[in-house]
Amino acid sequence: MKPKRELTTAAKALVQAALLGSEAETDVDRFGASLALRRRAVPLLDWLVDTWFRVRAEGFEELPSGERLLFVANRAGLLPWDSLILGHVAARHGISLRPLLEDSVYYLPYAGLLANRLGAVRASPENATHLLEAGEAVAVFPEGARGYSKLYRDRYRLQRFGRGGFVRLALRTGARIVPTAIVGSEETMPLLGKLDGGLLGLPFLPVTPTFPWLGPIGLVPLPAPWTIRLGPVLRLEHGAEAADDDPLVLRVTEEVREHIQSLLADTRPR
Amino acid sequence: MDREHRVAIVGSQSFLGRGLSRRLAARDDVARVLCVDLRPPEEVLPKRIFHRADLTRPAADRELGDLFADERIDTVVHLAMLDSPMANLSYAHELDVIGTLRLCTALRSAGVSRLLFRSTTLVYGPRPQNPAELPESWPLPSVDDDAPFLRDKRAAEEQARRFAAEVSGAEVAILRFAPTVGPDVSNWLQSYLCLPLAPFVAGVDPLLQVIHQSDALDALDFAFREGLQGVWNVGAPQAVPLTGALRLAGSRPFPVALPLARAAAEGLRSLGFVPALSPALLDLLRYPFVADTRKLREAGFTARLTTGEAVRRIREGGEA
Repeated sequence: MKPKRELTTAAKALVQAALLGSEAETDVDRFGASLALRRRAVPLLDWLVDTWFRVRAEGFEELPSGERLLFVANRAGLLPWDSLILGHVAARHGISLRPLLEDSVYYLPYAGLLANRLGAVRASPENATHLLEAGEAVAVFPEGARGYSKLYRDRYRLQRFGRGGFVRLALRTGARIVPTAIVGSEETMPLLGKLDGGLLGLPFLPVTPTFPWLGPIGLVPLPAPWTIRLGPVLRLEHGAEAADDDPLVLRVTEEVREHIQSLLADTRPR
Repeated sequence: MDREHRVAIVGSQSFLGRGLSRRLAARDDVARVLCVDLRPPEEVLPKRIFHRADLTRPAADRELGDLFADERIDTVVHLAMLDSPMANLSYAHELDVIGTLRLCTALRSAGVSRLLFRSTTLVYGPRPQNPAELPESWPLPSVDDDAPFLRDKRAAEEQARRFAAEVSGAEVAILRFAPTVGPDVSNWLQSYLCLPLAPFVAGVDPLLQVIHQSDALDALDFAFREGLQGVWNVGAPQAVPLTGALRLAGSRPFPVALPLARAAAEGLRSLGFVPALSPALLDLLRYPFVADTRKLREAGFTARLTTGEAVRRIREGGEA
């Protein structure tokens, strides 16, 4: 258990960054992540991982070193808790992991801003390529909006994987694909229904057991235990030219999806 | 460069125009600096002559064409464009877009093939889809709901690119400057950063890239000296969050919810306090338009000040 003081300091720094913006000493990288804020948030992230979500991480030790890594994971919940936790767990294993968030999440007021300062990057092929070339690992959530807008009864049922942008990326950059199953995230914010969020500029207004009934407090995720499990790393041996081969890209996309689906099936919620 | 240049600077009373005309007049390989503006230069320099012209006048193309031919001008530097949105949209369009068209027509009729055109990174537009750093090859958006200010900037650059494509032997450099800050420039961003209390859109904080006036002038000089051709991003390295930039400039940012900010912008405009403001311009404070400056770096020019340093010296390093 962390001293309470450290946690409140970390929380204060985050709230301050979200409400009032950056301090004069700006140390963001070119994708908007602030090292200083990350460092100050560590106690809180540690607490979320160890105490709140009691994350069990499996398979990080077997990751190859010195390779470009592209984590491909399932997604749940409008707020990107999963990308935050995955990023921090990876950081504790010595991997600088940058989650890519799609526009509707990246541009959420406050939440998107904080996610960005803590390391998340707007999903785009250009950004992903630059990150991988700069030696960072990248995490993608190819279900996109279909992932976080599925209802609780469809939990862990992987949705369609877009148009295979991540496979093209892996082919072009030679990155290894790391199939990633995140289990527990669906239970922390079970989506029971959706209300129209157009007025607030949101894709939808989530209805969970606690939200909107408890107001903003209802946005606090439930403390379900998480398991993050990595499958064996996939090497695509087709070469960079294969990125323009649509049938191949779609086939590989589907294969990766099935890998992750079976990984999810093998990982029971605790 | 082996021959003697005869250069016309259109918009010679702008900060860049003043600086460049002084530098060119001091060079041995420049025989003539023709300053074109609405106002004459403050001091008289050898080699430098002034001609008053107004690009918004319909006959400006013929007038300048004759002048360029008489003066045997070989290079035109076009700096006469708006730095800030203005309320009179038709005048703004007339100056930025039609003015550039008239100037390009003058170049054609006088047979001038070399053009340095000051463009802006605003042509990329503040857009949610922008990658972290925009390369020169990024396709420019054509969106009708953009603020007219941004549309005019794109259309003006389009004129310069048409000139480059259609005139055989044309040597055109299009320099896309990040918003310029410094004590001697006046534009929307300079005014915004110098507000003692500055509103920002609550919940967002896009990265901002600027260039300090001294670096902007050096870059223009570099482009002239090296005979650059094509499109070049010119900006300071290391973009900073908008609120961080405000604090570095000594301002105190305060958050305003987006619907309220829109209403306030509309109110300030219609009541005549800030007639040039429009809600569409709020996007400048919501989305990034940071340019990738690798191409210019590899050509040999790097801005000395980062964005943070430039903003910190927003009131320092003037001409005097």
